[in-house]
Amino acid sequence: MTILGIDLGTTNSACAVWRDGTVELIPNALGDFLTPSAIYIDQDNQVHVGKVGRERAVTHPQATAQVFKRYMGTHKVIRLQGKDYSAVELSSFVLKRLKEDAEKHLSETITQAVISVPAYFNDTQRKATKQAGEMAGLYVERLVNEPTAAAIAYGLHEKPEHSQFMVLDLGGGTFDVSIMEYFSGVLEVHASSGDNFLGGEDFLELLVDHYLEQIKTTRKKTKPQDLQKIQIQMERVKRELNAVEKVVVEPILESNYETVTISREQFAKISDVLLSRLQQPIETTLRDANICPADLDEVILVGGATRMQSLRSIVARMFRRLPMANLDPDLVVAMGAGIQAGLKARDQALDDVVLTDVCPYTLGTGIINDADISGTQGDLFSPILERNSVIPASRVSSFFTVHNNQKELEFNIYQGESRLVKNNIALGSITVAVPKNKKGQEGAEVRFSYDMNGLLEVDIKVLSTGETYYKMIQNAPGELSEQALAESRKKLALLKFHPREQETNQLLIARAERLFESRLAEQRQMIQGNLRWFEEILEKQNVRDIEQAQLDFAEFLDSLEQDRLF
Amino acid sequence: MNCWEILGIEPDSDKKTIKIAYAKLLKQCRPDEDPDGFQQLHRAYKNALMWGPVEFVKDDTPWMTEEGKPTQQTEPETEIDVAKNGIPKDSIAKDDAFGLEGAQIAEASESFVLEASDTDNADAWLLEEVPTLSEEDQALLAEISQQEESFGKDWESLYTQVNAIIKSIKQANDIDSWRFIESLPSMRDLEFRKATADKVFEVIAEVNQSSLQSKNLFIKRPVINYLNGLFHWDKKWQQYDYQYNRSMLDAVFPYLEEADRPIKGGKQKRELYYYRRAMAFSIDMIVLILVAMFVDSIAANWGADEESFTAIFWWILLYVLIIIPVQESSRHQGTLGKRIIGLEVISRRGDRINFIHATWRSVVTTFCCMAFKLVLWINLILSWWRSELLQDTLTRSYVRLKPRR
Repeated sequence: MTILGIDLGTTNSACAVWRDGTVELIPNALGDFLTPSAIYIDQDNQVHVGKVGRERAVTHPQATAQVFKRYMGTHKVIRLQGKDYSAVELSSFVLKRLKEDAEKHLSETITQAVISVPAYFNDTQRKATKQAGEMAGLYVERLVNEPTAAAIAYGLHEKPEHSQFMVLDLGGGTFDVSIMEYFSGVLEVHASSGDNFLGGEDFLELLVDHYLEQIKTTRKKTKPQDLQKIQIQMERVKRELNAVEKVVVEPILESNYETVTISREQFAKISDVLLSRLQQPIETTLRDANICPADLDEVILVGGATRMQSLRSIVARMFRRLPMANLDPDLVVAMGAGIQAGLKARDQALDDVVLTDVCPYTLGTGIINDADISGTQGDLFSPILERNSVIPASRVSSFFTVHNNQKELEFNIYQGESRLVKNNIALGSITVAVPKNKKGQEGAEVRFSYDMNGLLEVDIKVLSTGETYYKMIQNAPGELSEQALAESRKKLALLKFHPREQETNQLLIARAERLFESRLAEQRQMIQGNLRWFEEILEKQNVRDIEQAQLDFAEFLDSLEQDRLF
Repeated sequence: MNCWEILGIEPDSDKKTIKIAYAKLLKQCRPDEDPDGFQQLHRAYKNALMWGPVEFVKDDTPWMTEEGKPTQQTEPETEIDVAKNGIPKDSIAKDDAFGLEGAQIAEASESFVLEASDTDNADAWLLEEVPTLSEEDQALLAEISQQEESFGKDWESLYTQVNAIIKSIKQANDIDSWRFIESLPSMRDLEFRKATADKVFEVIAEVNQSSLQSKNLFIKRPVINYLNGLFHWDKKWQQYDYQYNRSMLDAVFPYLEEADRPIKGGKQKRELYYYRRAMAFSIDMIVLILVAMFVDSIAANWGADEESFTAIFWWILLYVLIIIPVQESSRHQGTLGKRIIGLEVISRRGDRINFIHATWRSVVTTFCCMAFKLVLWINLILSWWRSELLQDTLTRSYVRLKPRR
């Protein structure tokens, strides 16, 4: 029984398994380890996942979805081909494709998975991820935090004897920070924190805005298709800026003729706002772990966006040292998830590794706020289970009455970090009866128990009577009900997945169509001619011919695309 | 069983022994298989680390001896160790904290560069793999050392500038005068930033704390919120709760923007105190009329009947424009009548109102009294709907029961 380790990312996803004592990344139908988290649904209700989805974003922006991980755990729907899809459903498409790839690669059916989530994902988002797994036909054995997964991969790759390090994971859409310690086979997470709305995509948006400003137009005035074109070009600029000092962008839109030069310095300047947002989660983790930056042996960068030179520079200046990135930052998390899957299956080779993790947010209850004179603040938050407690964890706090002859105590349970409960997420409430007495004389003992699967149990014991109350908090706000799940399964049953074998052809056609749209006269005819030729060969269904044609066609498209930037 | 017995080691073993013992036992009670056993073991492990002997790092610190400053040798190390053991370091206690910390930051900083570039260091196993640094990495190292050179200077300028700013109320409440902090090159450094955040918090909390004793907020919301945006004090409240006393926290935290966001689901209903307000109003009117009668009788005595009307007019104007506003914006926050009844006037945020605000309130109230027939109906509706009177709504100030202190 193999368990699949999956990194379900904002921009790219990947998967890996633990096999024969080592971690093995699984290639998709195109032979890549990374599958873009992009969905395209065509007129025949066929679902395309991966590169095809990304290419189609230009030609069919109304039928493609990207960056939907950001909406996990919300009610937001994305409309594709006249039907609404939730982020959970779209994620399940990606998972299904990865599952198929793995089954093909390993020639066995896979029903279990370990999926990585940003450490800072809250309960709702975690449950949404589990549901996406279930919809794709995968039982989610464990959700592993992304930085933890990265740390596992590093820990097993480098095998240091004793090391305390920080993992900074800046992915497509989320930023995660974790401090960990590795000694004698124990990987202990000390603290983690993050920002769920900070990632490579935000830097890209800024670059797009900068470009639009340079050609003196705005987002509102630009057509969605043009915007997609700019986005693709800017993505490329962003990557190239990691290597060169400045990039010259040829005109992208038909309406303008100017070339725009973007230098690394300019990019660093416009992204300064985002870079300064890195600071706060890093400070929080250091504080929670009670560690000075000097105590860290290493600062490890994970995630595609950490390739940015400006980010490396900021991190170096924050910690007064060079950050390290030995493994491929895009694949580290998937590798870690694969290892975690092996751990879960209790593979022999991993038997001496134990992982302890923390609960990334604070759980507590509301208490009366005496200082609230104007009535705008509301109750204060009294933490019971502090964030970054090692899980499973169980903590007790006592609370007392504030009025004479008070008859009951109301415990409102919250999750969050704000001092005021109104800024935290309400999880539920319990009211317990207490005997009448002077204020402060009656009270109750509240015990919070949090297990490894993120389940919170609340036990309350009234001190004087010994009466006990119990509540299990499971239903986080925004979670799908059983009925909604069944409905969504029914809707998805109508969709077919595009056959995996044809993905290469689909991608080539999609690419050709995108290029066709962005080119003019002569080149268009050239593309058109080649495309027709390619489709003819496909129709003849001669395997050897098709293989040769794929290579030729890909080469043609490459040569077309490369003269674009230089 | 105490923590040493659970771990199966001698009491007061060193950290290394504790960790090895923990690692060995952990394999028998993994967190996902034996949650209770794990929790007990983990607690024992944490306690052992906390109560274990404080270790002074003697070796592996080549930079200290190289620097040749024996007096400073152990101090930063002890702090690091104490911090690791879970006891918060009390940096506030030192009076000359500014100078000392600055020196320490600069001191410690030099070490990191050395460590980073020192390939012989046992910890730098990564660097051994990559002996030649790329051009970009070399540029980064240069950047780092450049930044380090500025620590001492930046701390010094922070110290002098902050002290200068808080001397003048005008400057202290001008966001622009605080902006220099952001542009200090050292602010990129985590330790420098943390030290700055704490120090500025202390300074602000202290001046506000003393000014609040006379019911005045010295450094007002805009600046507090700007600085909070820079330093994220609101995210550190748990630590500050521990580090500073209540009144210092209350001098800053209630004025943060997060405190002002409306409460989700239902606003708290304000009370009108209709009868109390009516009584207070009557008392104020009696004062007004008594003085007016006094003025009138004096005028009659002097035999200047025509001028008495003008005199009364001036008296009312004085009363409305000066006397009432002065009283309401004073420390007592209310007119004589309100003070007797025990009411006070507050702004929308619950603060004392200023003189201009109070004058506006008084003028509006006067007009409301003059047009009482129309206003009566409006007031009836307002008091039912929002527990306010027309003058409250128009001037965005409210009356409430004086809290007992």
